[in-house]
Amino acid sequence: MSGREDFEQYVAARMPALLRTAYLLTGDPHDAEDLVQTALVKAVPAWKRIAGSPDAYLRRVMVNENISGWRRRRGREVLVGETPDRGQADPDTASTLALQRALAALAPRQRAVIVLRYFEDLTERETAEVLGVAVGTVKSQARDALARLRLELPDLAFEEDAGPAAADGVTVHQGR
Amino acid sequence: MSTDLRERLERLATRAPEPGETADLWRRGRRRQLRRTAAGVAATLVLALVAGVGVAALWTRLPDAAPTDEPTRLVLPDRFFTPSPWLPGTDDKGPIGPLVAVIRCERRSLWGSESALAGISATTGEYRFLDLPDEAWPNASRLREDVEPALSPDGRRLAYWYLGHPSGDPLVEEQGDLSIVGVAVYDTVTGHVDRMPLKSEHGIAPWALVWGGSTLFVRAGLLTEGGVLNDSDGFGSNSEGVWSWRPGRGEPTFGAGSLSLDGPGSPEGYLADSRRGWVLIGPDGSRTVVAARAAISDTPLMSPSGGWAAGISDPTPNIDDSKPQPLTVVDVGSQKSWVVPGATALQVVGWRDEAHLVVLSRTRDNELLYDSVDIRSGEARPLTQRSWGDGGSFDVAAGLWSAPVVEAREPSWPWDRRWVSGGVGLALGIVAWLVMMLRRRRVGP
Repeated sequence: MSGREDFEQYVAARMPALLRTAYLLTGDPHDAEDLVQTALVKAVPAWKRIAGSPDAYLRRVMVNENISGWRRRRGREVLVGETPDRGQADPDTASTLALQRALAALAPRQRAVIVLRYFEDLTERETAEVLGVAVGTVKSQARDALARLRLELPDLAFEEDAGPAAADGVTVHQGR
Repeated sequence: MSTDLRERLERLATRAPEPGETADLWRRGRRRQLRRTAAGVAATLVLALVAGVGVAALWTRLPDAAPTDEPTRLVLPDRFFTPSPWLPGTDDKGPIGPLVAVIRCERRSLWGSESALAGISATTGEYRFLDLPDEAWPNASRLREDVEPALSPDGRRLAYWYLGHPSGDPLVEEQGDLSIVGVAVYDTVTGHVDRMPLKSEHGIAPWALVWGGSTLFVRAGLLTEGGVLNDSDGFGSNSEGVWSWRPGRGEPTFGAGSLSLDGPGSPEGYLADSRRGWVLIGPDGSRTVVAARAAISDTPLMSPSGGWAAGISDPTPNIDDSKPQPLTVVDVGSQKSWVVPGATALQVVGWRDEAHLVVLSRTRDNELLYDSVDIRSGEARPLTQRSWGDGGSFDVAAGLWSAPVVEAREPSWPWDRRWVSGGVGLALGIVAWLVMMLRRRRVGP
């Protein structure tokens, strides 16, 4: 199988998952599409090397690109993808959109820590490798981000369990 | 309502956009790769070029310890070499100190080559090109054929003609607005340059520079017209004459005779050929007959005390047979002369002391051999030698022929700066390429 065919098969299979991660990282559907496309274009030259496990490479590109893009966009107005219709929204939708706003209020590296740890289910070490930081930094970023989320989302419950954040004393449900 | 962060993230993620067209991604990735590779190669080449040129330029610009006025032992090497064309210059490393000799030879740079003057230190034996500000280069020019610099007897000063803007239309051989406008004296210890401008409307015709002791004698004429000198044209000059100048000790004076300067005198005078024979002309124009024309056929040289004059006595002076000829010495006081027994030479070049001449005795292979000859017995002893090289001019400080002879140290032979630049550039290019490759191999953007 040629590199191109392999790549295109991977894209077809993994595109939805990549878009979901990107959407959580950016909070905007258009930015999410751009982020995934940028990451995939960057992956092409490296495809031969990363074909065994492209997910790790793509995660790292997306996270770093998003942080760089946030630095470039800083100062611009932050657009919220969708505004809840308070009159018609069901409770789940309302809580989801509240999470979106709360995530948007986090610094991009904190947001990335939350997404990688609690959506991608990476360990602290894996998260640190993706971000290119020390494990201790991941811990402190996660602690700060969760504290901020707790402030924004009082109804978000944190229960003791053996979840990914157990190492720093902050736990969440493992209810996926 | 679920309070689980994971569930909420999952629900939020379902709002992600649907996958769109992806067929173009591979092509865009390849294009990006090509662009980055091209940019990397270009950046590497530029870096290598800049670094190579920079290193090559710095290679010779690290200054050596500056020479001082402290009295040091001046020596005469037993051999002079043709130096590397890649030697550093005084602009790079500063003044070299008192010179035992200057030699004209090829000098190369990254951009070409030229004829240049190298100085040889009388204290260390080091060779270094002399960057003389505004020096008028000797070349095929009819206007500049006599413009070789002159080294003072003590090796401390070097006189040369310099270029500048005359008050009116300059006389030049090619389009330009510079002509020779005066004489400058370069101090080999401090690097200071004293200038003696000769006021002229069109520039000056340089005839000769001769040191007599610490006095510089300058023979020149003022050009009478400007413009471009064509091959078929001659050029005129007036107010021709001799200026005498003691650099750093006052203004030059005009009127020290009008004869051609044929050789150095001692002290404070120069030798000229007149109808009465070889005469010593002082700064005030006074004349003293030194030797009869019949006794010495070539310009004689006077001993340090001025008591003797010596030269070649060629029985057939009009025939250029380039064979060693007998040597004649004249007692200036009594005008008695004698032929040095058993001694011949191609040229008398100086005096080692009151009893010994320095002569260019012969050539061997590509070497010019200089001997010390006893003026009474004719006994000759090897003194020094130099490689003929490309036949460029060679001038030893007259007073340093008497210096102790030491074993010469061959001058450093710097590598061709183009190879140095290329090598450094290549090395840096390889390093940059390796860094690029390592960076690309790293799993990361």
